[in-house]
Amino acid sequence: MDLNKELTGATSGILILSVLAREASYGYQIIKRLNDAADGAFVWQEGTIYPILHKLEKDEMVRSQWQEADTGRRRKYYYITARGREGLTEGSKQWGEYHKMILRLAELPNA
Amino acid sequence: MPNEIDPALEERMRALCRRVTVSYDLDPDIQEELYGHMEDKALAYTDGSERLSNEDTFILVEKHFGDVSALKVLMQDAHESSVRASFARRLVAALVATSALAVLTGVLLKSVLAGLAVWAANANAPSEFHAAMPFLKAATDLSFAALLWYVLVRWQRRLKQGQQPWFVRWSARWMWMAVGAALVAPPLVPGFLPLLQDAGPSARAGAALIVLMSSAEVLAVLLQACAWLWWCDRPPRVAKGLLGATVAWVTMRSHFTLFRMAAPVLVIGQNTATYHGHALNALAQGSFSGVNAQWAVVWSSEVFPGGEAYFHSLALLVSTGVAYIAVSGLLAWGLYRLTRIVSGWIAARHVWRQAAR
Repeated sequence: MDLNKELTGATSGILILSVLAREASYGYQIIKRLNDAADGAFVWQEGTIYPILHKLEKDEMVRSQWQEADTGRRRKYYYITARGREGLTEGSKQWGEYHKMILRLAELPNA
Repeated sequence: MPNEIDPALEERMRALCRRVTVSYDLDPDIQEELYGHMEDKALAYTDGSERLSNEDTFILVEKHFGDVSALKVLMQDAHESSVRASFARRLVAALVATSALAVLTGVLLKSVLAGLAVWAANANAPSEFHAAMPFLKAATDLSFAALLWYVLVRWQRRLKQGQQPWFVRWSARWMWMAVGAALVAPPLVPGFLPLLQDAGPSARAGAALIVLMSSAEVLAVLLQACAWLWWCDRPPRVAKGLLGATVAWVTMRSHFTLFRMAAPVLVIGQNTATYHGHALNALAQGSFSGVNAQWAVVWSSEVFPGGEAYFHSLALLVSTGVAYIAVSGLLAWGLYRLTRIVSGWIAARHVWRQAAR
């Protein structure tokens, strides 16, 4: 199933935070993990992850530092902060409520 | 993952990153980060760890295949179009195009002139208005010819591309209606005279301006003739095309000429009373032909319709009518001869080229 682009756009911050909550990563790695998790349901325009990452960093949800990757090249790694974890919990909760509301509204009366 | 990346590829990717500019103090850091991503992606493709999606495959196929619009043009040159417009349909199309453009350019010219006339009347500058007229007329004539060429070339291109323009699709009945509309529409465009009267009495147009106007008209007429011949002169109906184009064109030109000469008469009848002596002055001193001036005298005679002046006017009317027919006949004959010369020249070139092959 192809997911609506607007839907993935609205949840992109939470998705990135959830990847970083498992392990600190750099841009390309984050994209790979998201695409693997999506299993073809959506594909990111890869460059668009950076404005989101930079916004999260500005909001102190993540912090970054240059370090050597497994490939031996210097990459900018992103780490989730305490505020980011709070944001992720709050965001997930909100989306959960929203999801429930949609299911409730979409349910047919005689189904 | 191999640790090597081609320097040329690296430079291209860095150039791409440089296009994402934010601000001077941020850019090096951001660009390095973006480049790192691209580098990872490129290396992953080359070592096969990144799988090609359908989207990726399509991008590659499209890029390798080349510029599709350029290819389309090449293919159209290589393959003849299956759409052919018959000679009759081409003729109708050219007639409709000519009439529609005549109306369009006529309305545009007259709208501009109306604006100028109002300005001239308010600013009391009739001589400026009359001096601008030849330029506007020349520009309109040449624009008309250029637009006709543009429309015909565009239709020809559409036919070559295998498309079916209206003159190929339409039934015979609709084509007849198009011919009718094309013949009826141009005379509906209003004449010049009210505008001239609004602007006030004219000064006589200078000889240089009349030469300019006449040259532009002759050039426009020649361009129109060539456009018609080019459009209709399509094998295997070369001879028919030449003859048909010539007849149709001469008919059109005569039609316009007749109307142009007759139209002011109708207008004068309505306006001389309002503008008193101005209209007569404008006619007598302006660049209109003597025929029109005579008509004006007849129409505005205050003793009309009785007495000696009435008969004098009637005689003038009849003699003017005869002169009018003679002049327009001569004009049509002259244009016909001219078109024959042009069409003969084009046909001769065609034959010469075939012989050269």
